[in-house]
Amino acid sequence: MSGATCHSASPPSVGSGDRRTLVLAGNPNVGKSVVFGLLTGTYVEVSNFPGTTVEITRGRHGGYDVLDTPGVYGVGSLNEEEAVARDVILTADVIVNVVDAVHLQRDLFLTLQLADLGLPMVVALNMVDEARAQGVGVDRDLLEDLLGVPVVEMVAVDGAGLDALLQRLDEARPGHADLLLEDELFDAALPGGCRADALLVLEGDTTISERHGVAPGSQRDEIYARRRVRVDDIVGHVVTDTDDGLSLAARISRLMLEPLTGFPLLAGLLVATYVVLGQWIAGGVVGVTEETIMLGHWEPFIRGVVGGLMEQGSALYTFLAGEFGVLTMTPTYLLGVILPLVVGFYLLMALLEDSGYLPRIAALADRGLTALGLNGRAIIPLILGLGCVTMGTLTTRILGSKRERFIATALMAVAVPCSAQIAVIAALMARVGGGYAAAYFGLLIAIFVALGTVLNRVVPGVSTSLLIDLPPLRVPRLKNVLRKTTTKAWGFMREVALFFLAGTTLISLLDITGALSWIQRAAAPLTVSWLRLPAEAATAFVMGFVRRDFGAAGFFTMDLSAPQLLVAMVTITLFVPCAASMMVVLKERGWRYLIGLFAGSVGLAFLIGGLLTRALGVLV
Amino acid sequence: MNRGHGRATERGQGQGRGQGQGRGQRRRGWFGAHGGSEADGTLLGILPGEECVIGVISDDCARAQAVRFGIGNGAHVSCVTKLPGGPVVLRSGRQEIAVGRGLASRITVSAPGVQAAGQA
Repeated sequence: MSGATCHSASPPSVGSGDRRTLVLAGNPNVGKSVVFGLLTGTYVEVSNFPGTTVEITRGRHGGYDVLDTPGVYGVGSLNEEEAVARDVILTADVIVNVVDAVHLQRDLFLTLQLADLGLPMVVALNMVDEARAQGVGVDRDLLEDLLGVPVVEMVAVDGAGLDALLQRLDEARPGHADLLLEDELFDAALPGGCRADALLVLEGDTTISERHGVAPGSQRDEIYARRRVRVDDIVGHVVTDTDDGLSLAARISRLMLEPLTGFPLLAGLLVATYVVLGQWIAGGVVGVTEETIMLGHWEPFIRGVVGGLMEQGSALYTFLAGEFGVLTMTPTYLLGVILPLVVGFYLLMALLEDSGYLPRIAALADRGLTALGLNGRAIIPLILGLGCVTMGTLTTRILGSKRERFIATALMAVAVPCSAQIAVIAALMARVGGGYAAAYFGLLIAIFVALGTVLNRVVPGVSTSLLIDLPPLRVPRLKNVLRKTTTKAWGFMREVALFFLAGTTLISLLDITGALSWIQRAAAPLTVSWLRLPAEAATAFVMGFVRRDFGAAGFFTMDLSAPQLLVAMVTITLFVPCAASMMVVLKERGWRYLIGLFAGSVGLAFLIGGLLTRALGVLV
Repeated sequence: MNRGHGRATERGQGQGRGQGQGRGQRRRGWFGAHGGSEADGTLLGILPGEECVIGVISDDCARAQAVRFGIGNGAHVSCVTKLPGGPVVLRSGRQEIAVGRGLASRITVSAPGVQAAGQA
């Protein structure tokens, strides 16, 4: 038997000197990551969970290895992300189940499932301050008695309750389970297996059943229904809700979802985003960082220093300070052009995430996305894709069917530019005026919709419907937002920097060896005749194989007319996704999909680029 | 238990019919996508401000997730709002859930009062 280990069946390893595994589990948006931060301090490492591409955050606390899991409403395999959380939970020696005191009716379902699984746990009753403010009282002592495990009150964002949690970790034990789940039932479902796996088999979990070579059970409905009754019973006993009126947050939430106010509010957000990211940052801030600082001061300074050390035109000079030099172009694009917009984007993402608005956008976008074979939930990977396509592709795991993951991955790889690319393109488009920038985004949206509509027709299978929990609206905490922004922007910039360096090295090598001019001649029928661009455009497309934003940057030094620039930007955007996201596509979707995507995106890029050239030739 | 719920659902559909057709016609005017019969007795037929009791959810995954959210079979929910051609937003306790249109048409519901009679 392979797969999940059964710690509940093995003797406890207390005092043996071995490190124990502490797993944080809970519903989405209950503050798991904040508790994780409290437990592990700043030292965290993001690593792949064995056998998957899923990133799991790990850290240490005393004798514990601490693992964070994706937020789930239950242990099972309703989607890929849930399957990952399940496998991490099954490796736990101790579980800290973080629950939101305001939403026990929802959160305790997972708690009782963990109890039924027989896993030792402590419950962190988080956000008790918010509950109090909303008139929700929770009887902690009674909850502890009814669950049969330690319950600790916390306000994790303030660090309150951490000491109590740490003190009571040793008391972690399996909670009171469903009395009708008897040992004979488990033995029949999974002879000789452990309780946790046997319960999941009974609940019809296909992956766990497959791992053990047994048929999945058919008792999920009965077990779930009894668990729901127990949850409602516990909530009825421990929760006192004194406030019947709608809070301000609930009233705003209503406005966000009412058709007459919800869509205008969303439109307002989009306009605000455009003003902040598109005009203030891509225009104002980048104008200073790129032109004044990097081009005005940094590059001349470096050329002077490098030129003083070696002959201009030598191979090393070209590599260091030439057109694509690692000390000139690389830092200019990384720090001057890309960094401001990436930081701005992740700041916005963190605000959207922490405020709870994202699931409401999913509800508003549901109707539109249904026409593309997706449901509203897909807005989450798609928006993340605007930050980083690699990240967006990983997040397709939250989608309910293979068909939806197929379509969303293709849409992102082809028609969604990442923040770095938008930064470079915005900087280039600033030269030719707003009309062309609008045409660029309009075309991309049209291609996005057309491609989605076609894929919805041709991709086999059935897409799932939206079923999404709308968490309460909250005012984001500045500290959290800044922490998230810096972590994510830093991770993204590191990846970009790595590929930029690899890319500039490659281009410089090709340039020095003369291979670049050969490629330019060979690609001339495509670049010069078909797209009517200068022959040097081939260089940009070679760069585009490394990263699309890098490819777009390749057009910087070319003297292009406005229509040529539009053609170049549309073509390079539709061109192959960056090397990093292709690796993720390979892992998540397989090599056949990758080959199809590669051929499809290159074909589509040149087809649309050429047609656009001709259309512009007629129009302009 | 199951039989009880089945009976309640049938009765709910029967009693709600006259009212339901009127609703269906209004909806035809708004969306033009379907007739009243599809919405009758399903979550799609519920109007903002109305309350109902969830009956049968035919999708396997959705049924499991709905029980976790507390809007499974027998749950008492109210409709917060409906987006044109889009999801139905439900509230159960302090929990708000958006249910896509396709799924909503496959969830049967009954009026709260009728459910109580069925259980008694």
